[in-house]
Amino acid sequence: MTKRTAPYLFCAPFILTFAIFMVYPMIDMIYRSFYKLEGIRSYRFVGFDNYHRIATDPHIGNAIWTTLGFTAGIVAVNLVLPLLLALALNNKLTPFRNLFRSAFYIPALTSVVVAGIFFRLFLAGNADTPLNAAMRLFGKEPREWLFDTKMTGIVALVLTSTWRWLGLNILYFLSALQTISRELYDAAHVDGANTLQRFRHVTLPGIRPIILFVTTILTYGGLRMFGESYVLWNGNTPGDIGLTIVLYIYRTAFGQFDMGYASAMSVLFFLLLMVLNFFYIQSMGIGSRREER
Amino acid sequence: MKRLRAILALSVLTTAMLAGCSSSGSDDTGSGNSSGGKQTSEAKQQSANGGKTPLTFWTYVEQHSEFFQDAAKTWNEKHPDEQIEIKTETYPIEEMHSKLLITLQSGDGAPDIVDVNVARFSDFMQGKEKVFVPLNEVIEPEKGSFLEPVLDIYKYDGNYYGIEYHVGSPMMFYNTEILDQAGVKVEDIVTWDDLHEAGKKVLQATGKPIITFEVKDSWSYYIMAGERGGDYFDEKGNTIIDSEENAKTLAFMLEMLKDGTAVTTPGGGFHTEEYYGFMSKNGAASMLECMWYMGRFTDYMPELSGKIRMAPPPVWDANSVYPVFGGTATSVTTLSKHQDLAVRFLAEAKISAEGAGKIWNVLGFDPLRWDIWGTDVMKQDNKFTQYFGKDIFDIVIGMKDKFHTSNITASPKFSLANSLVAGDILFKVLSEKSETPEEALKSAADQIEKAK
Amino acid sequence: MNLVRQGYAYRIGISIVLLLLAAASLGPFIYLLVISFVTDMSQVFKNGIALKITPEMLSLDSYRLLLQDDGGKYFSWFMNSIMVTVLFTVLSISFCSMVGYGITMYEFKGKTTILVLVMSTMMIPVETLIIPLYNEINLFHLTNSYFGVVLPFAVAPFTIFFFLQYAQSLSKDFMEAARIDGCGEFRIFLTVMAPLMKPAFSAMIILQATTAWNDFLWPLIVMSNSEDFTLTVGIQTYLSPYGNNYNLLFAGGVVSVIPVIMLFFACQRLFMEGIMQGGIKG
Repeated sequence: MTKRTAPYLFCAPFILTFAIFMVYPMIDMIYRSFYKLEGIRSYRFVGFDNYHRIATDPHIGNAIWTTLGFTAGIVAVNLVLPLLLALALNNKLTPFRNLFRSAFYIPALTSVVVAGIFFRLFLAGNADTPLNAAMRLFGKEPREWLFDTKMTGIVALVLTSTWRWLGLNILYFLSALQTISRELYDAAHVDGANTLQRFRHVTLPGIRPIILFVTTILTYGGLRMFGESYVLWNGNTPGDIGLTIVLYIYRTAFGQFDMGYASAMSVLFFLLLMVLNFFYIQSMGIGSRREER
Repeated sequence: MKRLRAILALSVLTTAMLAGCSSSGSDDTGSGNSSGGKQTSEAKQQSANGGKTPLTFWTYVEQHSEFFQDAAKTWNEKHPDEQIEIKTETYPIEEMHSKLLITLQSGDGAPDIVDVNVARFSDFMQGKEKVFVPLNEVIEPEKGSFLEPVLDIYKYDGNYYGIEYHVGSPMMFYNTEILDQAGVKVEDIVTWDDLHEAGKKVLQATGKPIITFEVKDSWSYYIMAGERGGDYFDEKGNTIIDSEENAKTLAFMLEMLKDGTAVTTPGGGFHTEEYYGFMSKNGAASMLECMWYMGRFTDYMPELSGKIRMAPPPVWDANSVYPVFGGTATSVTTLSKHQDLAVRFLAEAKISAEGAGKIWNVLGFDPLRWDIWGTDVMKQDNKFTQYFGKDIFDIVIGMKDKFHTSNITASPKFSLANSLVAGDILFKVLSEKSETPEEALKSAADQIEKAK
Repeated sequence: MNLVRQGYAYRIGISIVLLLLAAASLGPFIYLLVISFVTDMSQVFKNGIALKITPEMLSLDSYRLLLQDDGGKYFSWFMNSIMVTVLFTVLSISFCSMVGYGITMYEFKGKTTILVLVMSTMMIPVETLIIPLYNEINLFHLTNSYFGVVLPFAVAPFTIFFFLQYAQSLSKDFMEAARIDGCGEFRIFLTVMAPLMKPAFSAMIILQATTAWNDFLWPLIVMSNSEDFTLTVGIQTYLSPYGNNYNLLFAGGVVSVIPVIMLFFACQRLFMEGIMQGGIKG
């Protein structure tokens, strides 16, 4: 293997998987978006009907709103909170660092099914649930958190996802913080930099790739949110509260067997994500190595 | 560096060991294949059945799987020369239907016998190719003693493609303790207006609502609207979800909500933990569901034992009917390699008088076979008769002539309509109050038309 | 002296904050653990969720039930989960580290294209591709097999992306030095560069193992026989529209977490050894 052929061999597993398990299903999806499933195996050609239907579907707007709201929320919360916690956990002065790190990660090990049931009950409307009991302490009326407004729905989603994924994001930041050489800090210290300056000039540049990484996966994870929404609302989202785009597509496909329409929505959703993706790659220069040394 | 290589080596070793473990484990059943489960489980089936014909059964209800296991035992006792080995799989409801669709589409891996939810049944009945086997030869001879409106749910062009477990007779469950406090008698509540009036007395005497309305589940609304001829589709599958009957039903519910004689159901539906808690603390004086809801009372609200009285639901007027729509059909797939055997087994399990008795005593459902309703089989001591008394089926017998088939399987868009009712209409009209009944129903009708 | 006092203040302050957050983090988990011992689940769910759990309500019944249910089906689920997880994790981290490393460390024609493809696959919601994927797996005769569960998603774009990002902090100088020593490219990766990415490996082992362990939708579609289910799929069958078996659900859920927790603690030590002893010396 020479230096010229090496990169292609390194990338081969991806190229193969991509061709077999992505390109083919995608073509199938695009093809089906022009058809309508009638019965079990017979598809009828309907032209652009499925795409026209998207324009007038009242649920689409709600699903987009919830998805974007959730994405904004999850990115904001899960960038700041884990970074701060990782800094604390990376600090030698902090006691019981390993214990805390484990404590934050353990929720990520529970399956979304079990976690979803807990939060469904935790956010239930009865006056005696812990959350509503707390509300009462503040003199507020108990609420049906999962069925109140689209906003409380989004908050519920952010809460459940953050509970599960906080520890993982802490891990990401920690693994990056550990790559920053101790000597850089020492040098900065000798130069008389204070904590904040050291954070800005040593830590931040050092963890830049991981910040990008976390932002990216949070954005994509947010946009394709499915699991928590599926479990929290148990397959039924009254008033479209908690209805995300992927959940809507999934339900259209498997709840109503409306494969053509679900495919059309997927195709549009995919195009939308491609645009976003292009923007991401352009603006962040991901992949081009920073010039160093 | 060495450490990393050691770790990689270790993990590969672990994989190999685990693979080894599993293959040596499955050697007992005659297969040494370590690469996957497929051969393993096939081999298991062959060696284990010893001349028995294997039949697979898929369901989304654990109890149904037990019911069929039991039925297979009975079958094998009666047919020593035609032994069967039933293999049951229980999946979550939505995933089971997805899996059924996918396997039927690919023509591979579908079960012999399968439970299909009534709201999803028409999805499988579209198009020219039939995926289920007609059951006419086993149903028609027994038709006289069966409740036809329920049989007809799964009838397409004169063929029966599924057989139901239960009638799913609409039923009102009254909390007599609350009614007694308000001096209201169950017998006096004949119409929905009677219920509304009684509700005012209950509210005054106890401060409690007489009934709760679901806002994220559709069935109690479906019963109420169905009594006066409302439905989502007509017999031919045309959309009538925005009919006057439906709008009037919603308006009536709104009225009761307004004066507090009704509230929206805690948790949004009758199958939530919140609701069980609410009801078991005497939260409301009544509820409307199908008869099989008895199981929920016995399992989740044991403290109400003896306090709950079942009665026919209130009606709108003398012309009202009781809509019946079953719940779960069992069908035999055309992909089955043992269709004939599967059909005859299904008939013995669910159609025979003995099977019908078990549907009541084991599953707690009202069987379609009404000729046994009056017999002592239905008065046997079980957890339902202990909870509700011995004369449960006398109530159903009194309602029998007014049963009317719902058009629940008339259009493949029923699942969409149902999700719009459960997810949109009831919530927006009754809970959010952001749309009038007419607006919400019209919007749903538009969406259904576009989806056709 | 002042510095020492500052240190104490920091320690106390940060401990309080972390303790509160850890309580919020572990609270639900501990709660689930406790109620998995409750015999009569209806007591728990009376009011949405009960906080008062008295010792009289507790017993080992749920666990006994779990072991006996359906001839110990839980054990075969457990075994399947381990197989799927190990297979998935090994394949995934081997391939993904290669791809991520390859993209970052080399300049080559088509690099940008591959990068864009990786990024694009990352956001394809697989839920929408399930039907064609199933047909494909069926074509390859991989239904009801571990490989059917693992293969389509083993080369995960997220993981590639993680290694790719991580590799950016590696210096090419090591590669050059190794080349001069006459090392082949793959050997350089395996013996020089991969060890430098050790923290990335440990993080990804944990992540991929958790993902594989908790994956639900796809294994359910691929596996038809209940003895072939993974734990997460199997546990979900305890939920049904005609009543949920909470006893088995929670006991099963708790037991299912144990292996992943063990793995987490095992890998965590490796994680702590960290990169300091590795190759980057500024």
